[in-house]
Amino acid sequence: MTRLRKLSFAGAVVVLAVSALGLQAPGSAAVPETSPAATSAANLAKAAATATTGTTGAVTKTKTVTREMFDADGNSQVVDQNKVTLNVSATTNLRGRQELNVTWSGAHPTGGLVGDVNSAAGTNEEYPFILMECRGVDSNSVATSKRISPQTCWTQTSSERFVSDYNTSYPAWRSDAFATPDERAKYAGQPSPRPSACGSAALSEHWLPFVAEDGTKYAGGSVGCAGVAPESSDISGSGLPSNTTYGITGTNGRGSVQFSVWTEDENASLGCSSTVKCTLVAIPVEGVSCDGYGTQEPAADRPDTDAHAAVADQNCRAADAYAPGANAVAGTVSNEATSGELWWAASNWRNRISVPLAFAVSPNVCSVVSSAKPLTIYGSSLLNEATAQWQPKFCTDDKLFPFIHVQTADSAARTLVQGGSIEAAFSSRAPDGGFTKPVVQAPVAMTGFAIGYVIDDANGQRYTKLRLDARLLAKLLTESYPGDALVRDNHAGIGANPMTITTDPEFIALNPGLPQYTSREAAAVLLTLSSDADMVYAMTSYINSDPDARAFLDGKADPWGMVVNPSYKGISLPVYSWPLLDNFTAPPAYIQGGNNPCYSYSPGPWMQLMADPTALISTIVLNMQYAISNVQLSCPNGNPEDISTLKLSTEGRQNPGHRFVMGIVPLSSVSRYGLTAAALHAGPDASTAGDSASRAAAAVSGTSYVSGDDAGLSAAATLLTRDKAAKTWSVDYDKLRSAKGTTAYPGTLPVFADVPTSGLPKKDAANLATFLNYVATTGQTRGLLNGELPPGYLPLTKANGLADFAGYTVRAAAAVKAQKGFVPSLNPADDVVAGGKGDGSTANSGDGGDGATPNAPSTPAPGTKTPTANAGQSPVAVAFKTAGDHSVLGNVGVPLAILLALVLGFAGGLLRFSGELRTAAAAGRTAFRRASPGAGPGGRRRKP
Amino acid sequence: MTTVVDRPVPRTVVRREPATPGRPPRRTLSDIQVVIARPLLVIALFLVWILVYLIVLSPFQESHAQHRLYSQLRTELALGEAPTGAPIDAGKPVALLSIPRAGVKNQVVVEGTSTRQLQDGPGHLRGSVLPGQHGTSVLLGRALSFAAPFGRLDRLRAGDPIKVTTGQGTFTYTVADARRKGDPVPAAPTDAKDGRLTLVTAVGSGFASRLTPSDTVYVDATLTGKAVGPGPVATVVADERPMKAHVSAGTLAFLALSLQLLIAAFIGAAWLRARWSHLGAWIVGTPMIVAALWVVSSLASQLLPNLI
Repeated sequence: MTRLRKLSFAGAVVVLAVSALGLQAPGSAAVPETSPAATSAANLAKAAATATTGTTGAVTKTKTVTREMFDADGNSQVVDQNKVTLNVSATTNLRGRQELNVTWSGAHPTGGLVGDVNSAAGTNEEYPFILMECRGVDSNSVATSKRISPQTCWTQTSSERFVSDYNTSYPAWRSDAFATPDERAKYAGQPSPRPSACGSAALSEHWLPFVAEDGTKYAGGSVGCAGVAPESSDISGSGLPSNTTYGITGTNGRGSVQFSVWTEDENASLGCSSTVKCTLVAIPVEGVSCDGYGTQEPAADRPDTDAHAAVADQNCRAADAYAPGANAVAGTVSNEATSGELWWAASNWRNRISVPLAFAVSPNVCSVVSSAKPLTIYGSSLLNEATAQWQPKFCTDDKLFPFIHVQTADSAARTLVQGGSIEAAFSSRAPDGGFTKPVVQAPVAMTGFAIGYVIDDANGQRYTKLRLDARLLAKLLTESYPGDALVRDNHAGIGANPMTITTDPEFIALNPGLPQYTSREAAAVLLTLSSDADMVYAMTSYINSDPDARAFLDGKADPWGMVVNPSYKGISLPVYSWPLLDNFTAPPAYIQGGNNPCYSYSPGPWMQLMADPTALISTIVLNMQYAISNVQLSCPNGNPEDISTLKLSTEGRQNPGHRFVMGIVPLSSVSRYGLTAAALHAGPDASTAGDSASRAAAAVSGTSYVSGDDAGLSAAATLLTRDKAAKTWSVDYDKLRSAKGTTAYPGTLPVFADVPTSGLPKKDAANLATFLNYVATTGQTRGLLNGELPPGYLPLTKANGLADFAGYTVRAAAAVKAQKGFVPSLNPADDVVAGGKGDGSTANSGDGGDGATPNAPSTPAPGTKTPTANAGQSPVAVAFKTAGDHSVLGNVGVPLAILLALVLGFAGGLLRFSGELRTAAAAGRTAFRRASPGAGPGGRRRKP
Repeated sequence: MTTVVDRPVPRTVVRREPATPGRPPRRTLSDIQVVIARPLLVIALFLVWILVYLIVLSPFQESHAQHRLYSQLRTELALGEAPTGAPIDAGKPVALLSIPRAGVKNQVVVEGTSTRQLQDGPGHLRGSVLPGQHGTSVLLGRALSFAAPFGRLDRLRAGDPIKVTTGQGTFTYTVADARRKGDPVPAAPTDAKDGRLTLVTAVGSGFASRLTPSDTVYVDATLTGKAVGPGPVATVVADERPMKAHVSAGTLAFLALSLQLLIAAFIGAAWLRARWSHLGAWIVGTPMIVAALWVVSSLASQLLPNLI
């Protein structure tokens, strides 16, 4: 009996401990209270109000630019005059790193051309056409601090803002007729006192500080000795490549360049944003207007002697060192007066053409720590650009809710949805074997992958008509091109193949007239992802479905005798990420030869270093935007004595005129970052005959090569197969290979939102339903405004024949909101027939989709505003309220525990010791009776 | 043989009357009372233990962790290895915090703010920059248990200094204001040299407010001097947000295991008491049970909101 009691004692404690665990704070559910100011939605609308939806605000401006010369008597004479026309492709709704196409005509031809027009070396060009991003507006009606000036124009290096001369006290800029006397001083702009780090002064110096958005003034100086903005860098290759462009005007007066605009996300010191106005400034350098005798300045500031004045005049009027169109030659000093070095000189600055830039509200408006907890959706990077425009809309509209899109591998996201770890995912396929729990795969976008490239043709101009077929992709991916002589001579399997894709007859037939590289690793590989992605699965499916490509992979030589890399022979496709199978290592003789000390220090599989796939799609996009080669075989500054320098690095940015990079990118990033994308072979194989002539003929006719434009996407979308079992759509590559597929872009991929229809918390389910409703309706409006669908996605609308996709998403939204485990069928009629059951009818009439019938996807979803509704109101900063969290447990836990402990302890003690109490009480009474009357109770314990 | 006297074998006596004659023992009623009283006392005792653990014992645990973290951070600061940006493993020391007015003296701030990390000291919210960097850095601290590092934040007045030392230097912040639910959030620091520190803890209201930490309170402080550039920032994890509990499969599994340990300790003590001596069972059993109970409490308290 005693023992049993002891055990029950122990058991009771354990049971209590377990039940106490059940107490854990259910009351701590935070009710987010983010309420942006009433007009915040207007902020978004305002940013776009300057442009009509869908337009990009292209601008054309014309200006006559002149150079004048003043003689000793102050008489002026125009010596050069040009009527320059500038064309900018987009000026509104700009986003960070967006590429603008800038073309111009009528400018003075450039001389002393440099390879990289974005490098500081461009300052040495004569008559360059300079493009820079400057903060402020070019108007006299605004405060001086909000006006552009050379001080608010961005340059990446300090050398572009500092000029010193050790040969003369009268360099050309001191003779600038239009400069103020201060600007013509011997040490113009020098900070006072002169920073000690800058050493002693040269004979003359011109300092141009940079004024950051926060007002900080960075004086710059020689090699930045007096301080530079944190984003600037005198070492090339670190950070983003510079966007300051020393454009080259051809001898016909024309030129073109792509200019990458930056927001505060890329460059906080420059600080351009939707609220801080910036300007694209084009400076057609015409040369300093010479006034060597100082007739345009007060007598006191003129050169002190006539001899000096003559020197000044002579320096300024010096002859050009280069003929128009001539390339820069080492050792030749360009004429300072007409070089890009003096872009800030008043003579050049007054010739500027200013184009105001209007930036869109950036998604980082959502990143305020104390705001509501955002809904997280994981998965496909194909949707990046769309979510980048939807996100700011969702987080600033108080009827919506903030969400974030975390990029992960599509397959991993599907697994997490299946396992219940996450609530929603974006992906492009049904999982193999389908979901084992009710999950809708609602189409949210029609897009795809693209093969991005930067290739310069024989004239050094950017090639824009690249055509590729599946076999060429297979050749690149299998590392079947040697790329350089080392591999050719030592790699047994591929030595006889063409050195690079540019010498492959198949490629030449499709893309005639491109320069042929016999030793170039970057022209032998396709940059792809090392992580899993559905876009890689799609690309390898496309390769696998091509009979020629499949035969090549299985070991059959192509008509010109090229064979597959033996390491990949017979590879089983499709795959989610491309495997690196070639383990060829450079022979010992090469390693010991010391040609590449980094490689000698850590020899690895050569072909894998050449292919060097990246984990992030954003890296590939960046590389395709700036023509950066990812081939990891470079050894800059490799010193065998110092092993810390022996690190293999990527080749880096290629010089314009000789660029050749290719990589797989999302279709949406093509227009976002101004990339070029290849047309892919579609439809039945035109070259079954196999000879180069028939392939060339097919290529020239061009009918069977399709780009990822609207027409190509829409043709492919109609060929998607309805997978009735998985209740979703899938890409049928056999259909794309049929005659029907000749106009369909084979890289097409739909993106689905995978959302469970059971087990989600009610609030999240409602939010996800709102999200699906939004993207199926308002979100499919094409445009560059926040909340709209950017280019690169084919809107899921009736006009595009995709009404049933949007309709399905609306029905899916209802099922998600209901959370009854119902997954709608692709055809609404199937549900009605099968139904009568509560589930089906509930889902179809559920309040998640009210008003939006499947066939009318253009009806705005509930709780969403059309952006134009608030147009015209002034923008205000988005204000947030502290969200605050509450915990019921925290509030009542401790007092309740104390109270309960007291009550239970008292009650338990009373019961347990009642006998003893009674005895004591009895004893007390006896004692009381014995004592004389009138005495107190004696402080004994009493029964109350 | 003959000298030996045969002793008679004792006969078995069969008694037919009741074993305990007379009326049953007096304590029958009392027994029922005892059976009811025991669980009540056990529950009361258990509640007392919870309170004692949270308010009296857990500070020892925190202090122990702080000692370890302090020496680790000291070494890292000396070697220049203290972290300056994500990724930082959860629980690693990132900064040293002193708030003289609130009685915070050289507390080591750890990375991460789940209940587990806040058992070791104030935590740095992932998703915010580190203290001293440009942007808003958010620190969370407990208000009641585990030495309540942020329990006295209500003493702070505008202008009070907050000193933070990280791998990037020592930074002094000045308290600007406190805000609760519904108060406007100050605009994010835009200027590259500005930084803000937001301390988050829980406070109660009314009578015994110190014992009822129920609502989050945010104390904003602005950096005096120049902020350093922000390092990489990790993403926020849901259960590291204010007032969230850390319920992971791992915690629950460890909890289940530690409960088994507790059961084993009880059974062992009960067995000893039955088979050995009462005094011995108490001497041996009590430390075993207290140790197991401590482990259970430490794990179970991870299921409480992180700011309590």
